[in-house]
Amino acid sequence: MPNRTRPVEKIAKATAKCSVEAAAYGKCVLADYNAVHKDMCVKEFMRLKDCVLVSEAQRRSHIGERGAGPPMVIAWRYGI
Amino acid sequence: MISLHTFRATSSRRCFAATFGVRTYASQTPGNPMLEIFNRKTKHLQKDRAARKVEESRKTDYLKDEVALRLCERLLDIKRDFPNVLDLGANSCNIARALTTPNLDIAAPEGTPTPPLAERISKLTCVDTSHALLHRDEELPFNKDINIHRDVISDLETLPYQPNTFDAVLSSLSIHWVNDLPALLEQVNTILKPDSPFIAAMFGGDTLFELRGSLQLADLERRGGVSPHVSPLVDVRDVGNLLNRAGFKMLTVDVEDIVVEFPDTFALMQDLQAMGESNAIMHREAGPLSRDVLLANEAIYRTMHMEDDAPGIPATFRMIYMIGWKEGGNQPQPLQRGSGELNLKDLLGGGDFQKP
Repeated sequence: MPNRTRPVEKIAKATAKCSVEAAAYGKCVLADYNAVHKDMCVKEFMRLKDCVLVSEAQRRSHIGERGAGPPMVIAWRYGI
Repeated sequence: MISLHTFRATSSRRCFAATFGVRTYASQTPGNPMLEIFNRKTKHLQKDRAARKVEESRKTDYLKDEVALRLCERLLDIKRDFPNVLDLGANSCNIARALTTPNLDIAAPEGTPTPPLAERISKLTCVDTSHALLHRDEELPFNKDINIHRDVISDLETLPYQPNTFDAVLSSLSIHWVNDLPALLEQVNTILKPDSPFIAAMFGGDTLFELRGSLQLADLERRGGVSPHVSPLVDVRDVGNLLNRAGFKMLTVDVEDIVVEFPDTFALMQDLQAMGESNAIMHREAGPLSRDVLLANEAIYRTMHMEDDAPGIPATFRMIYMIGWKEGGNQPQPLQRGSGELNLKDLLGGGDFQKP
């Protein structure tokens, strides 16, 4: 399959559309980067992740690519 | 930054602890105990896989080609013919390509064509562990301009050559994956003919410091712990000692930063993979990075390192160039300390700083 888009390229394109959320998350982590702990910025991260998932899903429906789409998105959302 | 020496120190400490309970004569452990940092097999597979995607692999040769050119520029300063040259860890023979490039000498007056360095080299032996990578560009035209001999060896750390074989050993962007660098340098010193140079470039110290830092923060925030994603590299300060220990004379070590701009961290990591430079640390985590960490990393990297209004993110590659000569012949020797009779101030002119 020569023209297959790699999964990482899909995330890259989707992430590019969420620069506001990405900046908010980045600022939150860097505000106290000497004492980062798990889920310190979970709220900001979830906002970023939701945005990426939405823009990924939009791309998918726009292109008309069907198949393993939605279940995979749900799996990622809940960390399965 | 973790330097190679720290690893050696911890390994010897561990040997000591093991023998502590039993009181016997102090004895040396047989062989040379060495902590393996990089997984050789993984590295070999990564290089092989990367090289089999020929187009992608060629596209990401920009860094290796550039460094090979800069390395060969250093060869211009040595006015000599080199009948027999070794390219240690040749990747896709990037050095051979640089050697066949005409007009390499930027110091030459404009309009005077300078011949490619290949004319001074009768035989170039390119050696690497990956067959696919080494033979990737076998059919390209530059192969006709230089007498290349390609050698695939199973392990870069044991060189199958006789002592006093080569008139020069070159190495570009390979030896940062070597576990036992002191032993390799000693071997290089052995296979060189007396009064011959070893010229090498390797990734050092602060290479990819941006990625190292942001991945650590992303790992911490998302998963609560850190796992090594960027290799430990040799620090510039250690290189002189390493060369000295291996018996090289007249050392020159210099550092150069190359900053490459990427559209995003995903592109950076994809390129590293296509170069065959992905993580090969022994005890790294199995499997790819999770999507969560990738996403967090992208956000943190951008916030930390992207300049305002810049189109992309910067990634720093720090090159350490080293030149060492094998002892021998009528090599110039440094004078005794304190034997100088001329004041450099008189020689170079200038003087004290002017008082304001």
